[in-house]
Amino acid sequence: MNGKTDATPHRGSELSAPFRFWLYGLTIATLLLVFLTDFDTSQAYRANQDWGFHLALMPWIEATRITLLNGLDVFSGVPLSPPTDAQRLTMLVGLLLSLVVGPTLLLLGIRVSRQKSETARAKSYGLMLSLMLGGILAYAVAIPSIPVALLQWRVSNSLREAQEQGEQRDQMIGSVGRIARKAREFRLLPVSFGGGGGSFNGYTLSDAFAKNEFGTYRVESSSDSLLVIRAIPVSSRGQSVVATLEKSGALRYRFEDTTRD
Amino acid sequence: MTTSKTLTFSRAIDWQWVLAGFCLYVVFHLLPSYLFALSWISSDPFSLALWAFMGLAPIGFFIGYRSSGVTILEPGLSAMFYTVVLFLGIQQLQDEALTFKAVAQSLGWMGAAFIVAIGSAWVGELFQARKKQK
Repeated sequence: MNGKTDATPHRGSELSAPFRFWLYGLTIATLLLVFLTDFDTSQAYRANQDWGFHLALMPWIEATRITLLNGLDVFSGVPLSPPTDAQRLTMLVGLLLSLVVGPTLLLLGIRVSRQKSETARAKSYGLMLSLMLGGILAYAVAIPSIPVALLQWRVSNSLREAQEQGEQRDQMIGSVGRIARKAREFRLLPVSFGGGGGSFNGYTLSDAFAKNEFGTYRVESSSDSLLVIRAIPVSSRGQSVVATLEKSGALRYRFEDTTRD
Repeated sequence: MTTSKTLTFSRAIDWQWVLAGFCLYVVFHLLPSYLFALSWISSDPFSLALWAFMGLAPIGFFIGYRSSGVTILEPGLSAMFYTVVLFLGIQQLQDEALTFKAVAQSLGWMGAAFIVAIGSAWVGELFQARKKQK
């Protein structure tokens, strides 16, 4: 009879006594911790910088968080403060647990387990505890690494995209600024010198100004006192920059997006 | 002795594996989530879902692979019980009142956890069968 299709399930426990002992013990401890204590690790994440020591199995994420917060502080003019002792301890303990203690316990446990006979292995509580703790630590680092890697990939993609868009916008504003300077010159020049004689009327963009690697530019409307230039980015899906040049020389920008109301 | 190429369910449920599965979920999923504050993952729903269900799959696989006989339903049931505990744990942590929406959501999680655990246990059984063939 094939064991796989046996109608009666296996009755004897297939897990060793030490494994069951630690498994049930840790289960009870975990449930007590979750339901009967007031130990809320997520509090540490809610409080911004004033967080205390907590267990962080991925301290590099904490480090990124602190770096970003420091960057924002510098940007806002807040003087940088050195990492607190709690932050240092969190990092150190996190690194030790995830990269040293966890793998060591697990690999050592596997090695000892292979060296021992099956009977000796089934009786060793210490070995099983080492395997389980190492397993929990390794599992808690390895499994979330996949969503973290995906998250990191998505975040870096969106950051790169935002950076590219920002750079493109800056370049386009620079180009519009150059066009506005030329338009001012055109307005100041008398008609006999090829200018507008005090008017923006008749101002046209030369080929060099009408298009560059970042987008295309065109004169939307012109009058004696006002010139409206529209810049359309290369990657535009209905977005454009509208620059209005007044006779006083003031240049105002407006961003338009036809995909949004 | 006959050999079957297809896997069939055991007619009786092996409650020992249901209990062991539940404990494995608590120890290997709830404990790391809670103790090591994986709440940063919750900032991204996709990552949260990935961790929540990917964390269940290896345990289902382990049960399917480690147990003799076909144990596919057992990790599924363990995952369902575990999801209930997880739901209650989250409610306790967030100090939120039990709403109809939350209960409906937890039922959805239970269904999804059941499917993930069953799927991974089935893969575990296939690996076990392949190992035995060798």
